[in-house]
Amino acid sequence: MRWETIAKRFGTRGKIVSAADHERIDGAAADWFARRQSDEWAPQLQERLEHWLDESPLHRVAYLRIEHAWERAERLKVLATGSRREIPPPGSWARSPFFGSRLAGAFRGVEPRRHRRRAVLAAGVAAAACLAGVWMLSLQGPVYRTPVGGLERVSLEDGSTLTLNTDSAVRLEFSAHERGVKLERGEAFFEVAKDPGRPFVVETDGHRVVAVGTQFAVRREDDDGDIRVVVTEGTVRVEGDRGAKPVPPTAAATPDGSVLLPAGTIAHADGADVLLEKAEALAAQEALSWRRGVLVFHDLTLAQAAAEFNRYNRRQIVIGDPAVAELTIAGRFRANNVEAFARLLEKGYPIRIRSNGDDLVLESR
Amino acid sequence: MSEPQEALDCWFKREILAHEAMLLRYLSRVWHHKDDVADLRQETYARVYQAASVARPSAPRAFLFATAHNLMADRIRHERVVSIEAVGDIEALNVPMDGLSTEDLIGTREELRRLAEALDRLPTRCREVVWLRRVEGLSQREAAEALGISVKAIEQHMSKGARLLASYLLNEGGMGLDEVGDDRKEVRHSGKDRERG
Repeated sequence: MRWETIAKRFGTRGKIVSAADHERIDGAAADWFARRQSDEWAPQLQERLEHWLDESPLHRVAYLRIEHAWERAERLKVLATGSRREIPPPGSWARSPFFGSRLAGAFRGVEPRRHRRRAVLAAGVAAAACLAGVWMLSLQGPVYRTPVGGLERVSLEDGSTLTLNTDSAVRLEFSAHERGVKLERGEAFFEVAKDPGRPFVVETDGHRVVAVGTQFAVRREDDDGDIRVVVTEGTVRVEGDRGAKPVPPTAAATPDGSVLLPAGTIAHADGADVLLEKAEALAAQEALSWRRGVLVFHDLTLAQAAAEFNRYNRRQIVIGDPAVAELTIAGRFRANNVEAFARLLEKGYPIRIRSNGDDLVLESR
Repeated sequence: MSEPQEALDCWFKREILAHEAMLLRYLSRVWHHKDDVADLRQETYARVYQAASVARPSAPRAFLFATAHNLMADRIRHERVVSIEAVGDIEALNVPMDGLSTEDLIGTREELRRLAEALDRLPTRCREVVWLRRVEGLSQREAAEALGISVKAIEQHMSKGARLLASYLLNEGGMGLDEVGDDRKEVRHSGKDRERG
């Protein structure tokens, strides 16, 4: 291979530097680095440093390694207290709002329980504040709504709970023989209390998703009535205005023209077609990771990932360059931290971020 | 520092140093004398840097591993005592060579956790100095006053601290492949890129 021959050409072949030499070089690089940070850095010193760096690529890479780690550590600044007297003891990070309550427990020597309770309390207060004004009574039944970036869990009178994703709205239409929920916008996850005499029905324009006692999520993909259903427990039935048939045709079809979805299914209903995707339990859980404010991507194009982020944030990511759209991405991300996502993109990909008003425009660099 | 030099240094940090944890695993699997791994690493880096100063490889990660491979092959040829396993492994090892744009993206919170853990591993005085200088942004003199030690001592702690941070952050924290657990696992590799083992 071409680059292999290049690598050979520039090798320091035959000249083997001992481990002790490396130790010495590493120490010298660190000393130079520390001196470079000192208050008395002078032009003559800069000259000498550059001379030392030029002496051998071994010198330079040793120095770059240390400089790189130091630059990375800049992020620790978010933990600053602004006081030169109080240096937080090791392992005290659980108190920091920058670590989630779960993560805080990962640190040794901390008492996660107390901090966790505090974090939960804070989350509860925030949720209560959000919910005020969300709950509205109307002639047709109560409506629950979340703003962009919102995430709400609501207990229903029958013992079921619903979790509303970002920018979503449901209207409850409970009657004596049916527990109706109209998904007017966005996505919701349902944990349905068993009540055989009163099916739980989630309705969108064009589809009805029927459950007796189970856990599943319904998401409106667009205004044309396409939906995505993720079933994590039990079985749900999908009915369509124009009928419903499974693709590929399988036993999931029922004689009355609906489609049965067992647990571990991700289904996309587009008109009468219900596209079935057998999902591993993990994939189904990941499709619902939004309930914890997390987005999980597996080899998504950047365009798809951006569209997903845009559901959760007022600040929109705009693809400013077709070359950028096709890059693929994988990872777990905080849904509401679009700035951090953009910074990571800039670090890891040949991408430049430009602010345009409130938008973040991605361009190749 | 001249402009192209600076660009090269940035490239090196971004495209090469990012793979240190995986490089170390590769080196230590092939090379059975553990004491040599650190200098194989530095030697590999030096070769990559030198080559890149002439022409940047278009697939940096693949280039890095090819360089490491060649270096070890050279050493095996030159050294008298060669472990049989080393020779066998080097032929059998299939290093993924298609690492074009599959950068590892680390969640910011995860990165912060790693940094805090690396900081916590520093010796006490060293940690205090790094904290005041890097986090609180104090000058050398201010840090010396705050801790009641000499300016020279601050510089020595800085040297040690920066060096230890580099080894904690780049060697071990680097990839987090071994991490398990749901919310903590914020590092993912795009399919093909995943290390075999």
